[in-house]
Amino acid sequence: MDLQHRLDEAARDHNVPGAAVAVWVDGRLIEAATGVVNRDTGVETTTDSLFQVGSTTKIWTAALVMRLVEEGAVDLDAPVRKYLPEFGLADAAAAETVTVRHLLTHTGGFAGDLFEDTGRGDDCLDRFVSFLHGAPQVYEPGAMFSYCNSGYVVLGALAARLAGGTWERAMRERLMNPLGVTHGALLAEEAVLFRASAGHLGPGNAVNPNWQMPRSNAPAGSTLCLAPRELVRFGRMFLDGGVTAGGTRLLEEETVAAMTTAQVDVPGVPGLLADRWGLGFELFDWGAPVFGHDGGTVGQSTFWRIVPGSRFSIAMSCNGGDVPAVLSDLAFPLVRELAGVTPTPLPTVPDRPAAVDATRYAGTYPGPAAVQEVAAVDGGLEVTTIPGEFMRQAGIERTTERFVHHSDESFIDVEAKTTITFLERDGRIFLHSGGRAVARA
Amino acid sequence: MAGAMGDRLAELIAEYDVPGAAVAYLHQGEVHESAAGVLNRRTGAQVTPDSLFQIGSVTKVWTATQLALLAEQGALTLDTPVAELLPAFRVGDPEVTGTVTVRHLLSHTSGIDGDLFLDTGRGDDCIERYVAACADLAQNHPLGATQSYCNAGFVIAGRVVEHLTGKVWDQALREQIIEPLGLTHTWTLPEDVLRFGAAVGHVDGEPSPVWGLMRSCGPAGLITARPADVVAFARAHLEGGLLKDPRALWEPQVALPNPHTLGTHWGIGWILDEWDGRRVVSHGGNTIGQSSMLWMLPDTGTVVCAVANGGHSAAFFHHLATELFRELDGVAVPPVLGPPEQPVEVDAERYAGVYERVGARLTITVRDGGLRLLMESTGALADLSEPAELDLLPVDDVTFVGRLPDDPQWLSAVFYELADGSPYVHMGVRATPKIA
Repeated sequence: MDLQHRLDEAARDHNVPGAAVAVWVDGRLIEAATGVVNRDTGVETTTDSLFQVGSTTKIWTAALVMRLVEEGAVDLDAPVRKYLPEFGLADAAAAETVTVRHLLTHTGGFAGDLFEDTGRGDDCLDRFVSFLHGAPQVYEPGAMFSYCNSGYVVLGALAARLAGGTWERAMRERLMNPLGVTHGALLAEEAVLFRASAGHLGPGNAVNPNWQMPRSNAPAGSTLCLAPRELVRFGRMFLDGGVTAGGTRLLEEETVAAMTTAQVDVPGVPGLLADRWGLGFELFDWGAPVFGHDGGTVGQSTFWRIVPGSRFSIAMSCNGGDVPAVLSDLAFPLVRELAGVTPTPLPTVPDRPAAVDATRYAGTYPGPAAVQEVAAVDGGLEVTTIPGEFMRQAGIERTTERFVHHSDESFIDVEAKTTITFLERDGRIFLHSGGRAVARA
Repeated sequence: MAGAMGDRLAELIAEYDVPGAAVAYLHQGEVHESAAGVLNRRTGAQVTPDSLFQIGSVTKVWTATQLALLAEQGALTLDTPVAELLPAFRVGDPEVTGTVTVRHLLSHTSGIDGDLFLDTGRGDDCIERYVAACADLAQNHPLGATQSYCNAGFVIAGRVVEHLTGKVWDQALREQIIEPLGLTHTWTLPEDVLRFGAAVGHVDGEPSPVWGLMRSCGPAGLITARPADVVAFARAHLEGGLLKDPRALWEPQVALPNPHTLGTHWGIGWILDEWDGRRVVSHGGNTIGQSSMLWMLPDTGTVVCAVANGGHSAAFFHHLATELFRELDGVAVPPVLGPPEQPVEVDAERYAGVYERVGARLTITVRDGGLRLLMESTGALADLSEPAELDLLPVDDVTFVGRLPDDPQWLSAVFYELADGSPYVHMGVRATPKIA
């Protein structure tokens, strides 16, 4: 199989400045890299190049926490407060009841997309935890799934506190070194030693002027950089029941099983996002169990899957361009051909969508990252997204999208092909979009 | 990538085992750029004129300029005591605490132990915390009694900038210098540098496992820039655009006991020298495996900035300057002081002994009628550098030269006494007292 040729083609067809892929199949590693790490410098991508792997970092943070669970230092069902006494939220009752398991499964219910920059110092996570004292509660802890970056920062702060030191030090000493990771960076001063990819934005693929997101979101995925091969190395540890390629046991077999067993359903139409979540991992039913996680920073995207029945793992990173198209054209076919499982196709717009009266969903849904205004129009919906401060800084502008009915309580964007789902809990209507729940005002 | 110097830069870096280098120069009003080699021998990425290199202590001139700008705005004078500007300021000697001035700091004459490399973290409070830790620093020489290179003094100066502007040093630097000059390739933090091609230092030919110095040393040496931006900075000192009176910074503040190393005098921030009858205003820098030089000839208006990421960079820079200034201005750069053709007889035994300052010990012994020097790091940096030994050959009664093993560049040492008669050796622009 000519991986190189296929990656070159996919990148060229979908306007991707640079990409790299690593695959573990049939007991060996195959890799390819294409394009440039940065259009301004023209430095070519190699399989040693580092990409910002975004939220795939959450599995590293989850693994740190699970090691502490194995050591008896953390009880999954104990309140977070037991370990971080200063943990607080706007809803004082919720702050007392949120557990470690809630955070691992994105069910804590507090605002998840807070990207407050609390500085580049070693105190940034503690300061972020203090900042969360003002975080509004969207729903009662445990009520449903809503992707929660903030919760993973809290987990990182918790792991750092109990391991004694910074999150970065715990990552290095407790995961990366035992795994044998050589092409990874936790801080900018480490990344600069490598060919390190920059994110590219917009159709013109302009280099992101802010190379890195704030360190205060590091345990959720703002800073970790890896060559795809290192994510595959991490994936192999899960394939091998918690044992590294070097033969060291990093996690107990039961821990791996717990991380990859469903804890909560994800509302909505399955697609790129999983339909169930474990302790950290996204879980997919692709004809056989598949787990993994995706990640995105500003202008960089990573896809990571593990297929235990086929002893297969894949990691692919792109630094711009039409990433969903690269997944459809390259990553999903690779998984199909090499692991023998069938990825859920991304949702499509029905040829003749049912006209529905969507007035019961109409209204304003104020989220922490953006406000969404939903209007019933022509048997479907119009959703206007008014970006908040962080999204504006990332170059995202106010947009209005047309949605038609997809299935049940779900609608699909006729252009972007993304779906939204409405659900009712305790008499309130929630909009579930991009994995996030927002209650109607 | 060749550029203005054709293939010559590539030839020179090969000769001096420099992995990668870049040069920018201003000549008769035009800026020319060259680049050669690789940013990092492990990645193999190529140097271009837009690549960023750590300019190290050339940063000190930028910090001095920040203070000069604030002085022109009336926020201080160079003779204002630091303690008046920073109420919490303290060093080990209470008398020095009260009387040391900004001028002392910027001309390396404070006598405060200068080589404190203390990591106070990555955060915006790092300089404040560093200066708090200066409360224990000892005196290397009495205040104002001689010149001795003082990194700590420039961090303290950077803290004065922070205190007066209410901004962290990096941000004040952006607002005072980088943005007004329109410099797009001048940064201080690695997360900003990463957007560009960035050099990695090489130590013993291998990429350094650590990219940069601790952030607390920022005002003493943490700018990372392309050479053309450094030339633009120097051009503003020559032609105007930043300070009302940039030439005030070239006024000699102190004569260097050893005039053979970097220059004959120190100004405010700048080092002053003379080549072929022409005034030279310069500064250099060294970080972890990266080096830089900035030279200005006010008489001709020529500015050269060269950067390198390893190898025999001092000899490389000297060779480069010799060729460039001969070609551009017809100026002969004097050779580095070496041993005389005819050996001279001097009474060397009187210099034997132990010379020590914080962080370094120089042990001089008599061997075969000549002097042998053992240089050792002590304290925090002891693990990072191996002791080195070399023979010192006399040039005259007080001046000796020697070479490190495997380094083509001659080093010089001058033995002298302060006004109070205490014996010192001046080497590597540092004054070290004789203690035994």
